Amino acid sequence: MDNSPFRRIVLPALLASSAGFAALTWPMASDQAVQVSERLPEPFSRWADSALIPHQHKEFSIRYIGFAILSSVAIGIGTAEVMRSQQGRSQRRQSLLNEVLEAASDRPLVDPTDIDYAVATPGAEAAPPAETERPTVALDWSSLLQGTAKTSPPDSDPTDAGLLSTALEDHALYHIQGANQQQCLALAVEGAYYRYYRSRPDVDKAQKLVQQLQQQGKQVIATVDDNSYVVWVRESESPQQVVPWPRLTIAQQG
Amino acid sequence: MNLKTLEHLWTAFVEGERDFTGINLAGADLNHWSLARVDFWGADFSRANLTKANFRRANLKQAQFSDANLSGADLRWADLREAVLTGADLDAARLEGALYNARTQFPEGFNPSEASMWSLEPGASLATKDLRERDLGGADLTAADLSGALLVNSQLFGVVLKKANLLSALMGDSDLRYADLRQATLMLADLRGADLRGADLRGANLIGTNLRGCQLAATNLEGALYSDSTQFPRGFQLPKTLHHLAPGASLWGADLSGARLTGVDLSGANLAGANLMHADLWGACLANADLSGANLLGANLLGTDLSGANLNQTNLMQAIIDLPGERAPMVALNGQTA
Repeated sequence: MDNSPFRRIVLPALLASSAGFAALTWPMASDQAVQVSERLPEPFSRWADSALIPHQHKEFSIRYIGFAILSSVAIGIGTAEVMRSQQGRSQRRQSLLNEVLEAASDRPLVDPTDIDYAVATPGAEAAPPAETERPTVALDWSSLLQGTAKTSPPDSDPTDAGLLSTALEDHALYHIQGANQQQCLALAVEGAYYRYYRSRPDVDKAQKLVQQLQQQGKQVIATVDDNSYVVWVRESESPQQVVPWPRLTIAQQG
Repeated sequence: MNLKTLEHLWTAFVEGERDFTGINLAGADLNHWSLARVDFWGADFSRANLTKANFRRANLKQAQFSDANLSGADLRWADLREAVLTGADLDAARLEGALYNARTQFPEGFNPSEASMWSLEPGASLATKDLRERDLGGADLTAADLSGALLVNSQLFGVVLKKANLLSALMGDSDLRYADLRQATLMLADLRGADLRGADLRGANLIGTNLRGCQLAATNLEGALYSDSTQFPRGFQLPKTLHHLAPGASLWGADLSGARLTGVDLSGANLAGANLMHADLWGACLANADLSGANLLGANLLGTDLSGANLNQTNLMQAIIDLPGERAPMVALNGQTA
C-alpha cells in the first residue's frame, strides 16, 4: 500500500488540486476576505482585491470559477507529473543502491578505501631463508581486488584475475616451528615467512579472505594452482626452527 | 551487525550458500536457527542470542562468541579451534566431538574434556573418530593416533602427520597436498582418489595401503615401505628408493627406525646393518633373517619369530622380548637376553 501509485501520485495530485481550488475560491466565500486582503503586503493585497471583484460583480464569478477549476486541474496534473518523475528517479536510485548493496554483501563489511592493497613487504629483522630459495613473485592483490567480484572457477585462466607467476611451485617451502612449538607449512618471500592459513576453492573467496585478514592488520599473500587458491599469513615473529621442505622427487604417474 | 547482514545471511542460506566466512553477526538473534555444516570461519557472534541454535558439524574456527548465549545450542562435531568463547553461556549446550586446540578460549571453569570434546593437537588420541569433510589444513597432528579414523573428503593441505598412526584410516578423496607424512603409519589405510601431490612420505609405512587413483606427482616416497598388498595407481612407476617388504627382501642398511611392522613376514630377509631402533615388530616373522649388525634398540619383539635368525652383533639393548614359557615380557639389557 505504501508504494501504490494512488498513494504516491494520485493522492498528492488530488490534494494539490483541491488546495489550489480552495485558495482561488476562498475570497469569494469569505466575508472577511476584504479585511484580510487589506492586511496583506503588496503585491498580495492587490491580487486579493482583484479576486474579490467577482464577490461584488457576480457576472465575473462564473468565469472566475471556471478559471479556478482549470487552474486546480492544471495544478493537479502538474503535481502528478512531478510526483511521477520523482518516483522514477527514486526507483532508479533504489535499484542502483540495491545493486551496490548486493555487490557489497558479497564482500566483507569493509570500506574499500580502508584496505591496504600493498603487497606484503618483508621486514629486515626476519630470519633469512635458505640460500636455495627460488625467485618469487608476490600476488598483485590490487589488480585482483579491482577485478570482477563474480566467481572464477579454479580451472579458469588465472591470468584473468591478475594471478600471474604465483604458482606454489615458484616458492620456497619450509616447515617452521613457532613459539607454541607447533609445526606448520610456510613459504618464504623475500626474507619473510608466511604461514599456511587456508585453502580456498575460488578467487572470490580467496579475495574476501585476504580483505578480512588485511583489515585485521595482517600481511597476506596467496598462491594459486589448478585446484585452489592458498592464503598465507606473514609470521609476526621469527620462527624458532626452520626446516626446508625436501627437494621433491617427481614420480611419474601413468 | 545490521539488519542487512542478517537478511543477506537468510537469503543466501535459503539459496544454498553455506560459506559465510568472517560474517559479522554480533548481537544477532539466531535462536533456534539451524546452521548445521555451515562455514562460519572467523565469524563474529559476540553477544548474539544463539539459544538452541544448531551448529552441528559447522566450521566455527576462529569464530568470536564472547558473551554470546549458547544455552542449549547443538555444537556437536563443530570445529571450535581458536574460537573465543569467553563469557559465553554454554549451559546445556551439546559439545560432544567438537574440535578444539590450545588456542580455543573457553569460559572460566569450563573443561572441554568433560564435555567430550576432541583435542586437535600433536599426540592427540583420535582413533576411530569421524573427521570426514573437515578443513584441517595446516594442523599439527604429529604422532597423533588416527587409527581407523574417518577422514574421507577432508581438506588436509599442509597438515603435519609426521609419525602419526593412520592404521586402517579411511582417507579417500582427501586433499593431502604438501602434507607431512614422514614415518607415518598408513598400513591398510584407504587413500583412494586422494591428492598427495607434493606430500612428504619419506619412511612412511604403506604396507597394504590402497593408493588407487591417487595423485602422486612430486610426492616424496624416499624410504617408504610397501608390500605386495600395497595398491599403487595404475601405471605408477615405483621409485627405486622405496623398500619392498617381503620374504627374502634385501633391506641391507635400511632405515626402519620407529616403523610399525606388526605381523610383517620378513623371513629370510637381509636386514644386516638395518636400523630397526624402536621398531614395532610385534608378531612379525623374522625367521632365518640376517640381522647381523642391525640396531634393534628399544624395538618391540613381542611374539616375533626369530628362529634361525642371524643375531651376530645385533643391538638388542632395551628391546622388548618374550621368552618361551615366560608370561611377562622381558627387557634385553646390554644386548643379552635376561
